Amino acid sequence: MRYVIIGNSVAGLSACEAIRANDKDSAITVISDEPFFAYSRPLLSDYITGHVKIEDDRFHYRRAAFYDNLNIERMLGKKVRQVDTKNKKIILDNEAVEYDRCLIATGGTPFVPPNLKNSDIEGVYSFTNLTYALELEQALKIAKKIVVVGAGLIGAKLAEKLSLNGFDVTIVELTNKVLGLALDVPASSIVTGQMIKAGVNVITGDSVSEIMGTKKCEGVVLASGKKIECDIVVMAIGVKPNVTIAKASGIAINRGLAVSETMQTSVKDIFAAGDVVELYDKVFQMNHPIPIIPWASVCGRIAGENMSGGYKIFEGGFPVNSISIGNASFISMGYAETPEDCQEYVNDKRIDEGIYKKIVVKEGAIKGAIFMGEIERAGMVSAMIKDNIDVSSFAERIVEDGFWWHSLERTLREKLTRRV
Amino acid sequence: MKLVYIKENACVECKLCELACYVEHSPTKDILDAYEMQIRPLPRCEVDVELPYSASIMCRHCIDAPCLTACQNGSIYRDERGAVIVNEKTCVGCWMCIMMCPYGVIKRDRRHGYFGISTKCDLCPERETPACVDACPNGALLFDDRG
Ligand SMILES: Cc1cc2nc3c(=O)[nH]c(=O)nc-3n(C[C@H](O)[C@H](O)[C@H](O)COP(=O)(O)OP(=O)(O)OC[C@H]3O[C@@H](n4cnc5c(N)ncnc54)[C@H](O)[C@@H]3O)c2cc1C
Ligand code: SF4
Ligand code: SF4
Repeated sequence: MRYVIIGNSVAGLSACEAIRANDKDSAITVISDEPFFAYSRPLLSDYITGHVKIEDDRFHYRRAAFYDNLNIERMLGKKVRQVDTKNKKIILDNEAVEYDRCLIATGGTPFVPPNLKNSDIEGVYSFTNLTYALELEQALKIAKKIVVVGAGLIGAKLAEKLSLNGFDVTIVELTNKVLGLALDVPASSIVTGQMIKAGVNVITGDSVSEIMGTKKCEGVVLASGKKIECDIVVMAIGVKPNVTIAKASGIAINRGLAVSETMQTSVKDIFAAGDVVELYDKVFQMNHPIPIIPWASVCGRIAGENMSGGYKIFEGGFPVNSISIGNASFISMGYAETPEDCQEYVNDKRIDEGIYKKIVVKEGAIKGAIFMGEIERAGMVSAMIKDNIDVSSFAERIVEDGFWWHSLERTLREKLTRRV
Repeated sequence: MKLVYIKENACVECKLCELACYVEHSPTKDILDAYEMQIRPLPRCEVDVELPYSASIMCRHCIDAPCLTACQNGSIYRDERGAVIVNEKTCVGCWMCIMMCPYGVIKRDRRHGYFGISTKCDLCPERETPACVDACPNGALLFDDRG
């Protein structure tokens, strides 16, 4: 058996671990177009501000001995163009690699709006991988004014960190609130407050319609007509599945690369996992990409298990995030704003201290949650979503101060405290 | 593997388990030294009380540990005993482990510099029996192998 893993990151390496646990002898090859050791993308903004260095253990997704310990061959800095599914070959620029089972774990690519004028001139950057971060790092050596486009998880964190590092930063967000997908209005206001405190100029309800300059970026024009001068624009409006290989190889794609519950694609012996795929979302009850590390790692593991003779299925995920901006730490999942057909339970007694808790419930099932300031019990809630727990009889207790095991009835406590 | 089992009805909320835990996780493991430390270690177990309920709660060292798969930089690993351990030297305090822990037993320690540290039970790697279990005067914690 010969396993080939395309993608040297969360999903790819999690698959390698699962494969090696089942199969000690077969060859495993990991291919990546970036030349680096696998690294942690959430730390890219800490890299930019100098708080982590490339050689630091904490910047890496796995420790230095990982590839040798698991006897994994690396082909780094090499781009895969296509999979020849008939002859079972991975096609690179000047070579081909044979496989028996292959995993596509190519992650996401930054989304840049197609109608944005001048988005390809010098001074416009994306921020989704280390290659981009290294470019941005160079540019920041002479830049002073920066515009970040998009106040999602990536943009908001980068803007705050750059501002704290002395840059003049403006963030422009199309919707009426920062971190709009993750937070409701009260929680988002707390984060906005922290960003302003860090010195960020926060503009919501507006978008960038044009980048000014002929060869080099000189500023941006907003939809409202407002102009902002800047040396650098960082595009952070989102990522989309990187399905280039799948497209070139005739593998089925929907909103992302389509996979079964076992992470198998439409083609036999080709599996996929991570940001590149679409997953079943238990909360929103549809298939779409949920591009976060926990699912990339869980699904990579499931793919690896199934590629190497085991059997495991994915029962569904949901959006769930943890971030800190200034003093505001929060964990949010599922619906941020409460839909009309759902009920909400809110504890905002200490919102002045930055503590805010809310859950969204529909027919006894949790559909969303925000924990801000006090986040320690948030995982109990994500587990309740995962395990389809009916919370009708204690929903209001979940947002109470001090919620923990005492808040639950004995039978449920016993059900949940078994060793999972 | 051997795990700390919690007997709810036996806990008398004396919190000696918490005390024993932070002493065990201090550099000298001496109770007076530990008490006087400027940044005293956080206890990794915590007594959850709402009478008549009281119980000392700590990590369950889950089989498919959701904290471990959620970690962004491999800072959580399983040791030879099967215990789920946080590498406090590489942890960056992103709290993604907290976001996935079904037991709510991970604490945030933000007193040590730029990065926070995720703090949880490590089953006392230097002891035969975890300190909390030895400290409990009423047998409310049992170190047992129930498969
Ligand atoms: C700045 C930033 C912050 C983030 N913060 C968080 C966070 O706080 N929490 C969270 O859960 N998630 C966060 N994410 C998302 C998280 O990083 C991803 O969910 C995760 O990295 C997905 O892993 P993956 O293995 O699917 O793909 P990726 O990590 O994207 O890796 C894809 C791999 O495929 C390789 N590749 C792609 N195309 C080719 C090709 N043609 N040939 C060869 N190799 C190829 C790449 O080089 C790379 O090795 C963040 C992402 C970014 C960019
Ligand atoms: S910290 Fe939580 S998720 Fe991790 S092993 Fe312990 S109980 Fe399980
Ligand atoms: S807080 Fe530390 S241990 Fe927890 S997920 Fe983040 S880096 Fe990993």
